[in-house]
Amino acid sequence: MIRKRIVFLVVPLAFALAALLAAGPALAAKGPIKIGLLTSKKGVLAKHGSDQMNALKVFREKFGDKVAGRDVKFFIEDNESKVALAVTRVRKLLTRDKVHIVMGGLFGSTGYAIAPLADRYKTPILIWSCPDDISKRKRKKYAVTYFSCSQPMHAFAHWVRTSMPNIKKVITIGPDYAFGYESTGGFQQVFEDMGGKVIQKMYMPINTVDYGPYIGKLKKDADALFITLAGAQALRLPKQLKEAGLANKYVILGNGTNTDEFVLDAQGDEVLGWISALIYSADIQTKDNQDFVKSFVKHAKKDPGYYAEGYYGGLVSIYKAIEEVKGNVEDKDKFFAALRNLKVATGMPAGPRASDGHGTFKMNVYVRMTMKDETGKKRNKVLAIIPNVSQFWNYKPDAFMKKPPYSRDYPPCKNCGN
Amino acid sequence: MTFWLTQIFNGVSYGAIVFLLAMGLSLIFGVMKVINVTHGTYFLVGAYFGLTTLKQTGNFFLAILIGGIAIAVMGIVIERVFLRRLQGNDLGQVLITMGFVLVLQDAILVIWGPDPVSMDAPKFLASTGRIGGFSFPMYRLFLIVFAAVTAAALWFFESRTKIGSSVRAAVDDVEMAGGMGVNVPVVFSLVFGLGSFLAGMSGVLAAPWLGIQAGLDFEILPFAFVAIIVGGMGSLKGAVVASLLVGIIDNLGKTFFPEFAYFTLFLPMAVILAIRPSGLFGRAM
Amino acid sequence: MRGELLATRGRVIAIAAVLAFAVASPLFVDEFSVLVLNQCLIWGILALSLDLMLGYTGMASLGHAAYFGTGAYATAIMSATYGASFGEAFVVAIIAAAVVTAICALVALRASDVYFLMITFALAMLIWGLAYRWDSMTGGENGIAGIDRPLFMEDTITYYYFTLIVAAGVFLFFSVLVHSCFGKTMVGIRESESRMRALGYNVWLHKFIIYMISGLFSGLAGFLWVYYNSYVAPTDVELVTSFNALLMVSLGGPGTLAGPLLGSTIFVILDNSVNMFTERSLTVVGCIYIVVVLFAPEGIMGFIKQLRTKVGETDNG
Repeated sequence: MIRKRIVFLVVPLAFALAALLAAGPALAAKGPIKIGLLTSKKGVLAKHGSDQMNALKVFREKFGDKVAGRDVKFFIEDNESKVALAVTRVRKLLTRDKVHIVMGGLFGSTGYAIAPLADRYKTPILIWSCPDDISKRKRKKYAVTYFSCSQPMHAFAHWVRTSMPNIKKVITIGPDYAFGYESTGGFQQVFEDMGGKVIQKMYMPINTVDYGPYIGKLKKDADALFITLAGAQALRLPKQLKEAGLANKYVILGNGTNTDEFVLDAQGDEVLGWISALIYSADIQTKDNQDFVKSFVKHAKKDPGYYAEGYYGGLVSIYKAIEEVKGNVEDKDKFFAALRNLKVATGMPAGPRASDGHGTFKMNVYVRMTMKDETGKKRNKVLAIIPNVSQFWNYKPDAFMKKPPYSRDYPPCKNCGN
Repeated sequence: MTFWLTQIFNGVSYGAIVFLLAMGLSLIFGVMKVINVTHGTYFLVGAYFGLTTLKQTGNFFLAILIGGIAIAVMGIVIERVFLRRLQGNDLGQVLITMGFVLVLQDAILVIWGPDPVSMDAPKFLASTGRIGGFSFPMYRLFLIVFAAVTAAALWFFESRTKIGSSVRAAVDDVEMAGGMGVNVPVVFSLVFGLGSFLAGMSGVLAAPWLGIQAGLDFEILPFAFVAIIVGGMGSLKGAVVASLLVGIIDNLGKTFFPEFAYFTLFLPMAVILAIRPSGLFGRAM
Repeated sequence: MRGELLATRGRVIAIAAVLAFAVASPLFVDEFSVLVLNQCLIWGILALSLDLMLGYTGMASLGHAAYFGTGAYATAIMSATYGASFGEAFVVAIIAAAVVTAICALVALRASDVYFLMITFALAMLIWGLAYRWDSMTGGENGIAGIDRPLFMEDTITYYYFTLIVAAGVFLFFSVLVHSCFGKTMVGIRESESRMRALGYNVWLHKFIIYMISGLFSGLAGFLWVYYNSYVAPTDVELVTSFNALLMVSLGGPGTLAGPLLGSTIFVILDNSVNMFTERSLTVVGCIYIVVVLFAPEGIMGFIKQLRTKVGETDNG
């Protein structure tokens, strides 16, 4: 008797489970436009994620949840700073929420992991992190990237060679994964093509706690360090460089993520004087940017950095693409073509951007120096604007793509000696 | 020569932080046989408590103390309310400490937010020292001294006080110690409190050097585990020697074989496990 | 006697119901649900193989992510780096899992109880270290992306059915195993190693074989996982994965076959849905750990068993 009752328990349970699983929203004929957003609310990238969420607030406040006459619904997924989880979460956006476009991905490697999903589900993904090869050798039919990790660094190396000709020998330091290779590789490529020398290259795990051993190994005869930092590294390495008494020994160049506003307030005076380049700085003096900064500060009580601007700018781009197809995002090919060939002239805090025809965009690169303003607040003061930078810099795209992708071993370190 | 001095010095100073963290872990394991996965998170939460204290009072040393005490209290509560019920259930104890890791990580997000923060050491510790051609960060020297003093105090406590000898007896054999009149529940609370105190304190100590950020707990925890596995659980001498080894090997490993940064650390551990599962100074199982 | 017969019948009906549900579900749920169910099956295989050690033989392993990860990485490396076929990748994954498990077992079986926990934990850390730092092989932090399934099972539903068949096979094999003489020996070892030794059993060898079976099937789960997620990264091998597997077994009920499957199903569904309702998913999962350990040491199956005996008593009386 009892056993039977238990069996009777099992069957409804199974159906309850089925109901839960199938509880996805029924597909309306033409409901709202659905935008899927991937971010990180937990783990090492939690702060980047919270900047992104504040940027989303600013965006919605300004543009509302309506574009091209249709309602917009945002679906937010949290990958907890884990790349493997990003795949699962994006898949959920694509299969359960059936979004029309996905944007997101912190970490270059996330981009590589989620890009294949765009083609698999024939849904556009605006890969927000900057995986180089997704817009070069591993192009996808339905994926574009916001920019390419090496892109600002090409321009930066050119600027360094032209404006600081005394810097001839450089040591590069970077995190040991795609982003580090691409940032370092981009800098080294142009720097050495213009006669500079990279005399030592170091890659270190992103979760390195003690940088002492790396710092102890730095060659003494370099003029400058070119540093790329990701996540918590931005907090630790500058401190440890300073305590080793090396802060003033080298000129410090680097990727803008080193002193991005996500971490700038937490950093000490050790980052003052660091020169870096990126596609954004809160210090840009255009009206578009000043407005953005003002609204962002209202929500976040701090300046926006590239993690915030990029999210906002990505959303502006998506709205623009939706307008271009007159809201008909259901025609995925047309929608994606609009996104891929997009040209945004105004409304972007970081300035205009235009498609380069290869799956990413041409945009301004800002050379910034971290310094204190009159009030004692740290900012990334813009030293130079390099306009309309292509991911291929001045190289010919075809020739460029014939070379191997930037990696741990490429470009090789010809001048490292030993 | 300076190169080697710098590397060894760096290794020793890193070993100092590892020691403070590992010693607590080792005590807890040695006496209570609990694999406390929360230990790294204690370290992190301690750092946050220290930060709040520093902001309120401006006193760095008070921050170290408060960071330690706050975690000690938390540890004792967790031990009394949860772990005690699970005595003898090794797996249950490990799993529950994992539960606390997740809850505490979330609590950090709620209370302190996701912002990475840094903490400034007092001015006189933030400078760079110099002896001849050898220059070194003052703060690292401070860490080494601090850890050495702590080790000495622990040694004194363990070998010269009555409670210390009860703890030692409990490490050797809990049941026997109980039979000999040691008040085992009190010793357990004491040990867990002391271990937690060390973890919280080391978090504050590391903060000016490493910064405070989500994820730091699991970045530092493996080093402490390697130290207690190599050194032997429950052994003060083992923790000291193994932490120094961990610091120095990690340093030299990163210097000479950067591609195998973790491997250079984990491989010796595996070898020791295979040859002597109880660690260099642990009691044979 | 009659009771036993009834119980068996009940079990058969329950299995049939679950199987029918599993087979039929793709017909009436959306693709995402099929993906989630597929995850349930893969983690279910991992949980089952862990349960063989933990629940049946009493060896609590805190490092099963290592064997899972070995299978996963071997598959990914073969498929993405060397362009191996599904079958070739399978063979290599299983061999790799076997080798790694054998080495770990040789080291770990020298210890018991909490030391066994500690050693398996340390060994898993070593494997994680390899995945994280052996760049040229594993891609380090980048992980390995772009692992494609063969065309005929590229489709989500086909792969789900493939996994279902494999999982059913594993379940069948395990139920034969635990009901065999060997299975009885396993339980004997759990209850008292010394008695089994006195009875003339080679306890070490039994434990070694169980460890091997468990590691192999964990590797199989890793193999399935890589083709499911088409991506592998060090986070798949980290401590949390080992812990999650333990939680699944404890939640469902160690020492039973249905338990791990039930546990993995509940865990996976929660993992995929909690964050739809709350930002505090860490706390939710943390509390599940705490509650399961404190209040349901025998898991859900333990509850059901208790319920049954209780009701059974009143029935008789």
